[in-house]
Amino acid sequence: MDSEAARSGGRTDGTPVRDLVHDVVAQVAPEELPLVAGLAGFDDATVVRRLGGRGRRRETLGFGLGEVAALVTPVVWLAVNHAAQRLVETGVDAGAGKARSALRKLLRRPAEPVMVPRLTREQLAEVRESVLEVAARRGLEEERASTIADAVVARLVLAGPEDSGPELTGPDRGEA
Amino acid sequence: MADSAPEAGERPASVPLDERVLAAGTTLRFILLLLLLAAAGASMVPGTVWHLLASSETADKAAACWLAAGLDPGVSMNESYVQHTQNASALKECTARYSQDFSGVPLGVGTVAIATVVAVYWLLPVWRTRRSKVTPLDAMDVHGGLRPLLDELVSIAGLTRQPRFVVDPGAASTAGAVAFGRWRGHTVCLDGGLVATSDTQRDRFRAVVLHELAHLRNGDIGVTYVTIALWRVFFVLVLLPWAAVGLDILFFAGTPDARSQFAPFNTHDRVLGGLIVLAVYLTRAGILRNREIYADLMAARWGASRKPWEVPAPQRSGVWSRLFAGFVELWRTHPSWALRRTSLTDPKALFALERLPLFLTGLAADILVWHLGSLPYGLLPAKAVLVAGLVVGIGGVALWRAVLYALLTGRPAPSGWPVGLWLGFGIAVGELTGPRAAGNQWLPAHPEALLILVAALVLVMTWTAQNAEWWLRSWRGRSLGPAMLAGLAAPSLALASVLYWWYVQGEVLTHGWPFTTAGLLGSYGLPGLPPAHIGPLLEVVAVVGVLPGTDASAESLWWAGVLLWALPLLAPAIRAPARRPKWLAGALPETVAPLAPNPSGPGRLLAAGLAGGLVCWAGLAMARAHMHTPDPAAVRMTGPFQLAHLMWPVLVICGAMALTAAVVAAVTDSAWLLAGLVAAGITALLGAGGTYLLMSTDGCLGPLNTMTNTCRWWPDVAWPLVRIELAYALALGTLVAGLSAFAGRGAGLLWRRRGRIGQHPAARPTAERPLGRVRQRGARVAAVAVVAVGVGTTVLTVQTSRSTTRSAKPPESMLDQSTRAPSASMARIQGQAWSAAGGLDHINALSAAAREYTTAFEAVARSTSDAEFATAMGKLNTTCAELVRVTKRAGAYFTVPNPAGQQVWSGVLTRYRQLATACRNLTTHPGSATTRAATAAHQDAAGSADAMIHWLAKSGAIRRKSP
Repeated sequence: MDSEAARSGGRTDGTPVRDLVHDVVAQVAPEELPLVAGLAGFDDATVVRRLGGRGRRRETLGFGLGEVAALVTPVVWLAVNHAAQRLVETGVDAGAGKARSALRKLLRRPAEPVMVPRLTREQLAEVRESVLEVAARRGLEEERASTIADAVVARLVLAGPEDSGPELTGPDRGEA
Repeated sequence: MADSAPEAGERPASVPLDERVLAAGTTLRFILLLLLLAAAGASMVPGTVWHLLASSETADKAAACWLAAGLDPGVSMNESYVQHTQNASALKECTARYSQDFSGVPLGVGTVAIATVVAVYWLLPVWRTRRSKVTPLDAMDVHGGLRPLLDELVSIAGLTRQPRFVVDPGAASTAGAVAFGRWRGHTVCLDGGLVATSDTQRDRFRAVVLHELAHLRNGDIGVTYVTIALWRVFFVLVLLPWAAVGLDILFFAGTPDARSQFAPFNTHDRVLGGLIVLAVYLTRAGILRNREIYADLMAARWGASRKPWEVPAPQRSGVWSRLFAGFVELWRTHPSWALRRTSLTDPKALFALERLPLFLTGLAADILVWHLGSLPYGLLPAKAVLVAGLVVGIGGVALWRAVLYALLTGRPAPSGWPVGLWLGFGIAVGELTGPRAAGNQWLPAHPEALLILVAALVLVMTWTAQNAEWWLRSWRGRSLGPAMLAGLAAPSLALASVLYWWYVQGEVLTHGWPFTTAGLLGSYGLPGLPPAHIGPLLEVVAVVGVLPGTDASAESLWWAGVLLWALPLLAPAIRAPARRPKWLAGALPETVAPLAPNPSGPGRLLAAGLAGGLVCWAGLAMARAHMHTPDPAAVRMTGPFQLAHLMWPVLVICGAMALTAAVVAAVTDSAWLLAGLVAAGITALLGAGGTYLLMSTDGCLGPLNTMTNTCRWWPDVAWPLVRIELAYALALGTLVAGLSAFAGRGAGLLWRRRGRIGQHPAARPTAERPLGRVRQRGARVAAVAVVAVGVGTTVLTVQTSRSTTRSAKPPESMLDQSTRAPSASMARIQGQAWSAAGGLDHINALSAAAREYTTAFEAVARSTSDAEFATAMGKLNTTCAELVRVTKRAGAYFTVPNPAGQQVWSGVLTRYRQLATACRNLTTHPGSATTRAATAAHQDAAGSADAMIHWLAKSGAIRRKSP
């Protein structure tokens, strides 16, 4: 997936959110990998919209079960995406990013994957907080939430240098 | 709740009573909805198109035709009908002249709407499985375990066609699934959350998928999505434009005066349209809630764990909170979890009688009737059968299920009358809300007439409940289907006969009694009717003549009344099953014994009928003694005597049936209505037989002779009369007997309650003493013979009575012709309409013809040669013909609604006829006398036309042009 991001010709720095989610889920909740595989077919914006929305309830000829499953995948994806978006928005190229996104939509190109840039210690702490917050909101137990948050931070820290490699020296590294 | 691990080896939910033992009635309810939407669409689209495309000027002229004919929008429909009959042909011609036909456009719109329904139905699954929404199952089956599991579940469900499985990974927080698709291609969409937890929550996964497969197996998909597609298209393409046009009609179009004149009708029409939304939404939600329970039970039967149903319900305290929750529940497509859970062990919800669906069924059926209003007259019997079949079918299936459940669980069987009451309540609300009963009034003058429909429904539904119990106790077939089908067809046809009467005649009663006794008697077409003095017998006969069951034609369905006593009599005639019948073994395997047999055996019913027959014979003898006269030849050809001779036996037989039914119902504990009706039916047969014998032997009976003193066998004279009497007795008599049974039952209960106070329990009436085996068999054979005779006689009567019609006189001759004078403003409006719709044109045409006549006349006078004279005379001849023509046309125009105006107008017509005649005389016999006469006639004609113009101007019908 990294190579796909690189091929897209845009922002190749950092880790794609979906890769990060995949790795964390594989580590913390491998039984949810089918879900990650299913979500892989959608672009990031769709995934976030669908995961963030309220689940189906009592649809015609449905079973009618409401929100019952507190899963890891939505917590990780939503929290990391939220953090990544926030970092990008505070970055210098926020306007350019939006323009690029609009252009891609116009040209019906696949949307650019959201990337998590290399993070500072404070930013990592922020991401951790974000994960804990989303997990609590979605009904995950505290201990479980903590494990997930640690896994996310670990993935961000450990994977950072490998992923960034020598290419990640461009001007918009998102550290601003 | 469902997140906890499943218990090992948990037994699937056991289902004590198979809910499929009887049809669910879902299809009928869906058919009612689909028909309602289709009929409403077919009636609303032309109205909308007409309002949008029609020229308002022409439309005003067309409306003026009705006012010019003397119709007053403010009067009741009965009066309006009488007014309508007075100028019928002129009205037809006038409305034809100003009609605007856009029938092609609604046809086009209808075609587009149907095409859209098909497209929506086709595309809904495509839209729901679009790539931005769902993922194919295989893309998510990373471990490869899901596909075999789903294959196993499909094979458990016994589906012949494998559904397509997709996953909605975005629904990660829910663990549900949903089934959708078309008739054949089905899709099951699993929530991402369900798939993600398929390993840890295997039982839940199985239960949810089996529930969805049960929907597929139960055939819920096709009809649900057809309804959804039809409803959406109907709402957008039909209802919204229609409602917008309605707002325009009610608040903006035309003058405020014209709007207020028709405001009641238009408001009723639009409110009834709005009720469609309510009826469709609530009915569909109710059906779907039931289907969920069916799917739950099926899933449980296939081995689904009960755990996923253990969803905690929100705690509600306070009356208002519970009421609100109950109200919200009505609109949901899923029942509460508590109900679903309970239903897994006891599916009583699927056998319960709920008031709301019954009310909605009545309401929807009544709205359907309104929208089927433009069906041709010849299709009225079909309409009656359709509506009665749907109403009785839906209410009856619910009743059969409730009775069955009660019998199998040892509870008291439902009585049925509340079902009729709720169905009738729905119909009454539809009638009062819509324009059918009220017309252009805010409320009909006599809404209590609607109680006739309610009473008919109470009667047939009580009958259905009791008949269901009898047949369930004696049925021994593999499936209850045939018994229920017959048990629903009979009351459906009986109700249809009442509905047919209602559509043809009865519904006018919501505006009061429109008939006159003299008119009703005159309609028999017998010489000397109506007589100068109308006695009490003829008063009764006149009223009887317009009651249901008195139309002897086959299409009036009068013969259906016979089924109400013939079918139940067959049930006790069948030998009760000694062992557990096959249907019961399938429905409730744990039972070993059959249901207890009917407490009423055929012997007691036959004896009661025989007693009733004897009473009837006594009554017939008394009636004949009353009619006896020493000199029959003097009276037998007069109408009043003939009518009395025909109707006395009818009244006696109906009276004996009523008495028998009342007494039998009073002393019978279970199935009192059936017992009463069966006894009354036997009474009717015996009564009709007695009448036939008495009439055939007329002349040999001494003081009982009526028509002749010559003793001989008169079968050819007797049969035609008995045939008519049979139709009355079997149709009207059965209805009267049914209602009397209710009265008898009420009286019996009261009497017994009083008698029981202080009475020793042992003194209570005991059950019927069982007859000996031989007698039992004899009674059963006799019962079957009675049914055969009853049905055979009815068939014979139906076949031979096809050509009999009561009278060739027009129906309006029975009506009270007196009408109130319209208000001053209405009189002015009618005068204006009379002028605008063609009155003024006719006056102008008459004046123009008179002027041409003058010119031609002067040319004759001026002629100086024979040739000129001949030419001028030829011209004069032409103007005479023109005068004749325009006068004739003006004569065919409406009479002036105002009597004073009509006097002036008839003066105009007379004068112009005279002028035309004088003109003809002048051309055939030119001379001084004919010339003087023609000149005088011309002056009179011109004067009369001026007088008419003057009257119209004075009454405000026209405004004179200022000089």
